[in-house]
Amino acid sequence: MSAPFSIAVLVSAGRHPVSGVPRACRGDAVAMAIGHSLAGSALRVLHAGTEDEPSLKDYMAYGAKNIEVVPVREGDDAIAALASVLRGVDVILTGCKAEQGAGSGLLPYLLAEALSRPVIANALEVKIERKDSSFDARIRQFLPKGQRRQIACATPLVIAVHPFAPVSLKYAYARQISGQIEVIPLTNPTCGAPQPDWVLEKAARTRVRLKAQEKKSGHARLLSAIVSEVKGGVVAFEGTTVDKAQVVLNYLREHRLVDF
Amino acid sequence: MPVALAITILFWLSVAALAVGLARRAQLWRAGQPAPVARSGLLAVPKRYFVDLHHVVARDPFIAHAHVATAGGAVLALIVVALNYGFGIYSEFLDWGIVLAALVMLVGVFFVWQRRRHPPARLSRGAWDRLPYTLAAFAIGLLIANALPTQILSSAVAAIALLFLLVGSAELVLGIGVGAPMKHAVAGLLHLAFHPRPERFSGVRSTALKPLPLDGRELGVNAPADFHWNQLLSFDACVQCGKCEQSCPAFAAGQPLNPKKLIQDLVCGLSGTGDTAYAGSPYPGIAIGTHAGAPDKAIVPQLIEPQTLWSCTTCRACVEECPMLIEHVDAIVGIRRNLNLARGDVPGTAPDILANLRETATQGGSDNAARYNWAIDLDVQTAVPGKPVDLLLFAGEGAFDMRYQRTLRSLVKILKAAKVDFAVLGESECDTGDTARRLGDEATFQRLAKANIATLAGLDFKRIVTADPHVLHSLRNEYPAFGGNYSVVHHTALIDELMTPGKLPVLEFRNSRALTYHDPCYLGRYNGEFEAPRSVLRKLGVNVREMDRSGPRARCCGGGGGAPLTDIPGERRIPDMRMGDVRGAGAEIVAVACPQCTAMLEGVAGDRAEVLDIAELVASSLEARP
Repeated sequence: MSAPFSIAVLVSAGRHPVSGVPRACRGDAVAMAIGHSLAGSALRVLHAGTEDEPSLKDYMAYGAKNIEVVPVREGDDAIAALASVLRGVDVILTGCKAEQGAGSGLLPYLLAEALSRPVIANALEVKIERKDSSFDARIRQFLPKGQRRQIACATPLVIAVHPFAPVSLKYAYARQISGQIEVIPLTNPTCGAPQPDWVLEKAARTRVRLKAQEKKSGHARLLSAIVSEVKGGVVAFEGTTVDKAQVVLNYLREHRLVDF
Repeated sequence: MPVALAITILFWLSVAALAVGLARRAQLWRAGQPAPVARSGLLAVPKRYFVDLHHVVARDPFIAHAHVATAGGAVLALIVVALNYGFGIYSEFLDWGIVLAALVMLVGVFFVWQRRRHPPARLSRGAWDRLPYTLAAFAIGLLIANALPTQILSSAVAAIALLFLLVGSAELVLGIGVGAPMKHAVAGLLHLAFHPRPERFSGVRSTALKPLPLDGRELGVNAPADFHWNQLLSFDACVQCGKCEQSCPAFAAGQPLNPKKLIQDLVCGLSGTGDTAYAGSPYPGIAIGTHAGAPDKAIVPQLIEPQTLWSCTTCRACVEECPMLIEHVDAIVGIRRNLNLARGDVPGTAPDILANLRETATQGGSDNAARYNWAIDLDVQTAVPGKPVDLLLFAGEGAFDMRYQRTLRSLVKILKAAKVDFAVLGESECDTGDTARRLGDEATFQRLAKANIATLAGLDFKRIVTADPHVLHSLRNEYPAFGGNYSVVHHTALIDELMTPGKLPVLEFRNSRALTYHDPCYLGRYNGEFEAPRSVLRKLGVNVREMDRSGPRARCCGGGGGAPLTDIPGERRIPDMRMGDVRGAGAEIVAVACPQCTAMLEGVAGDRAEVLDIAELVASSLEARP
């Protein structure tokens, strides 16, 4: 199936949030699935980075027959490099944000700015319709609280696909081994993009306070709010440390705060 | 003697027809992939038939006796006819041998006819219903032709006898060529000779799936011709007795799977026909007559719908019951492999679970470093290279399930009470890949298996213990194909061993409630371990109330083969039916030995028996130590 308009999807190097294992970035894989539904095998799949990026294998399994790698090294300006490759492409699909690095979600906006074309974020469904001599994109856009919005926009444009877009991802091992990677030679390598200056650290886990669940009737709760009652409880002065620990354990078990 | 000459001619015509038919059918089987078979299997057919096959048939004594008489009589009669008429001896003495054999056959046919008058729902009708009559015609034809003295044998009677013989012989010899019921005799015997799992005949429970080469070509089974030729042959052996249908939990639950129909559809596929002639129970909810296939046409969805394949729990109840020793589960997993690896078409939440397995080596997408968090306060050592231990505890996916952690903690308590030198595997443990493999994702399975084998290779241990029969099956039966050979023991077997007097200080189980035991498929049918769990319960002083379907015939809990993930809708849920079995046995406690069974049975809504693992029962009976 070939499309009369040109279309490309940008895929990034994904990482699993728990294990950090290389994988297809979920949002980008969804964008790629939408691109396949629009243009079939005419969809170009581009990755700005290195050709030995392990997560590219996953995109092949999700249906990318041929991935074009725009050579960008750490610290290079990916936007300029991508813009130089994508200048003639009518529809550019991306995910909403990357799973590693800055992950700021700015790429579609910066790319659209560099190419001087509109950007539509949080797309859920995309349809491309012929209008006179050009093409129109009809887009169903995600808004918070279950709201959706229909947008029409003339091509060329950049579409950032929302990860909730209703597509089913089909991972097939056979496609992974048959896929190919091709490096696009860049005429004028650029460098010197502004990189965020921050340090990554693990999120501190908030402690969950063990609190006994109170099962009281509404009336009793009302009473306890207006009458100052004596707080129940035991103060374990007596006995050895083991006995005292047993008192605590009994309390926890009584209130089902531990399950052993 | 014109009658005798006619019989001779008829005999040799029949032999020719049989040979031509067999050649035609063999041509269809040869479309399959090459398979390594031993020609010596042909010599082993009598033993395999009389011992291994008949062992299964004899579970239904009525039809076993009827078949012995019918088939035995027919074969005997044919041998004597071959001698006496085929080679032109024409001895009257041998004629009486034929009469005797025909009488035996006629008695057998009478009982077959009896069964067919009021057939159970599992039996196929259609062409199979005419068998008693055509076989009777054969026997009666032989009787008339041989028992009546030549003087009385008027030409009219002789003509009738020959007509009967002609009808009977046609049924016997044309079956293989045109795919009629009697093809089961020829294909069945050849199937016994070239069985895809010949080790089954030497007493081995051959249950491990065969490794799939991942080097391209066709991954798994796309079209019938992608099966090995002896698998195609095995489908032709089916007698449509429906024992598989009767035992299939998915069929009973009204899910769109019927193992008998599946095999028949594959027969349609290999012979390039449709299923309009099929006269048995359909896949629940899918009409008969809508399926057609060809040897080199894709099976899914024209021949078999995907939901049929994804309903299977891989419990092997059908394989256990099949009198023709057909391997249904191998066929289903073969097609699943193609759906998964080549098309990426997997329903339900299974794609998410498979992605988790690829990306985190756990099914739930959990942090692998948290796999042994349940043991954090138990003072359990983690296995490290260079430090030998007797026993290695391999927890499996159950380690992330808060319910099953209680079982694992009980197991640790028991091991400590018995002063066993053991260690847990720690965060280097990966999922065994069992679920991925049953779902057809051979690539992920092989990757996980190789990772685990590499981890285990660096450790010094004597045995592995696990509370998960799925882990047990993978490690014990499926890892050897990838170079991992271990001595693996299930926790029930280990506890049984430790309960020999003196080693484990247990008291009698202080509970008067009635108890039954649910056999996990992967412990029982897959590994033949029925006795150890029951022995443990006996040693606890518990009188196990057996369910109707227990031991080798136990009904699946519905949790195997990734079935809870593909979650194909049916009319009932399999675990509900199993809990009904528990109720039927009058039990208030159901003892289990598998995390899947625990989860499935505990998921039954409403009033139900308490689900306790055997390790929990034993741990609660341990003497309190001072």
